[in-house]
Amino acid sequence: MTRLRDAWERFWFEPVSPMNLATCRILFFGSFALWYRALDLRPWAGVDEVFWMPVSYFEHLRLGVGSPAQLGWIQAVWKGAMWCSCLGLATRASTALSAILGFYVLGLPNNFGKTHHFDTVVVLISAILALSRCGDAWSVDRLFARWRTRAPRVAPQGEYSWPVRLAQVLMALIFFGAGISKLRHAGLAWIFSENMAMIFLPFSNSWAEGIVQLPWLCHLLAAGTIAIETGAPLALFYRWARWTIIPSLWVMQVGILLLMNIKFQPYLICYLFWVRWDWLLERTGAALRSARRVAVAPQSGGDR
Amino acid sequence: MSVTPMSAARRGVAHAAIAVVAGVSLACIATDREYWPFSPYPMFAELVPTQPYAEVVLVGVRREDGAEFSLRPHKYIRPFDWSRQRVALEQLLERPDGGAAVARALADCARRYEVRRVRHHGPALSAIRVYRLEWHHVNPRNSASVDVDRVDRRVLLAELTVPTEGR
Repeated sequence: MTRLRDAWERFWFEPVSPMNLATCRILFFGSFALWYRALDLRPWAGVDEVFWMPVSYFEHLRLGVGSPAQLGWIQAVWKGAMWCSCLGLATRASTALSAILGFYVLGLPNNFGKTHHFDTVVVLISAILALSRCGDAWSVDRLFARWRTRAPRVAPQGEYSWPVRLAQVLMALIFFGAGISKLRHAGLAWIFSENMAMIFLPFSNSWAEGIVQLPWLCHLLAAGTIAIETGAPLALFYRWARWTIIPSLWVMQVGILLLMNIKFQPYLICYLFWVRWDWLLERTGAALRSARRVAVAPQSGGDR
Repeated sequence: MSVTPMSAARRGVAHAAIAVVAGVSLACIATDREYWPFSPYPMFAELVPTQPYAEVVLVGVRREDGAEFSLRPHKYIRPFDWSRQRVALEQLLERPDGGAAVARALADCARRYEVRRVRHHGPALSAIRVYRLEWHHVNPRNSASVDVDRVDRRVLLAELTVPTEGR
């Protein structure tokens, strides 16, 4: 029991500096503030009620479609909150607002007949960050705190590792669920039948048409898809899996985007949670400092 | 630099977030049920039926010559994308009051098309139709085998005449 508790502590609450979480905050909210800058919910207010088929918390909380003016305000505040979250300005409030309004803004279109899954990871990671202390470093809030009170540097603590870990767990479970769903609904026929070729059939581009001419490649892609999806949780525990499965999933989603024009860009952005930004920045800084020292070092030997 | 321990309250928040996110995700996977944004992510999980291969399509009828054209492009059905529009229509068709519901849905599609026609420059509509297209001899290696002009069966599921505006 003690060993399990220790493993749990190490997994979720390893004491780390706030830099990695702060970098994730900046990149996450900055990327999505840009990605969703043109999003406009107001046309949904003009869709006939016959298409209104509420799901999930929209149904249980009896949330409806606002007027065009209301939707305009909600999405404007949401986009502003994401920018503030990126900058770390009133971080607790701005991340909370991003998460709460994100549930409405990104959830609303799913009540008109079909749920899409492109934005689920954005909504859930926003909520994780809203509960975290992601504004404790590299933020306007931190700048003000140091200026006003000469606040000391933030010490490493487990507070800064569990949000990143939870984002990773979420992504691993998303892919795991996708793999299990395929096996549950189709079994091994998903791999060994003509199914992969049939999936590509409606997408008439030269790459998809080239792939379907090679049955062995279709089966290999199908088997690979199931393997990396169901194996995604291994990346949480083993370094070899993190270095093979995660990049493979990224390549798979890029492939789906290129071959089938399915817009998985929000997921592609969220892979940033798998990068150790503090380690990367530290190494980059050290390399630059080393290069500078070499550049300014006095010449040894030479002309006299 | 020394490590600062987390307070009990903050550990409680962290554990609650872990329990909800991981717990509900696993529950959706285990039960194969969706509760947006949580899902078992069943996209492309079902085997694509091959005999026949079928597709529901939404077409407009041009007022000037009666020719049909696809209303699949996003600009014609905004704010819907085609995937959502198609599934919504299919669900309405399955309702006990499907006829009335689909007529109302088609009227809304036509209205949205017309309102945005100054932007997308599509032709004026005289009617809007929903078809189910079936292909009975699909070759997975040949995308041309599911071309519109190779349809084996075309079933008109619903139609709405778009009234001419008064002159």
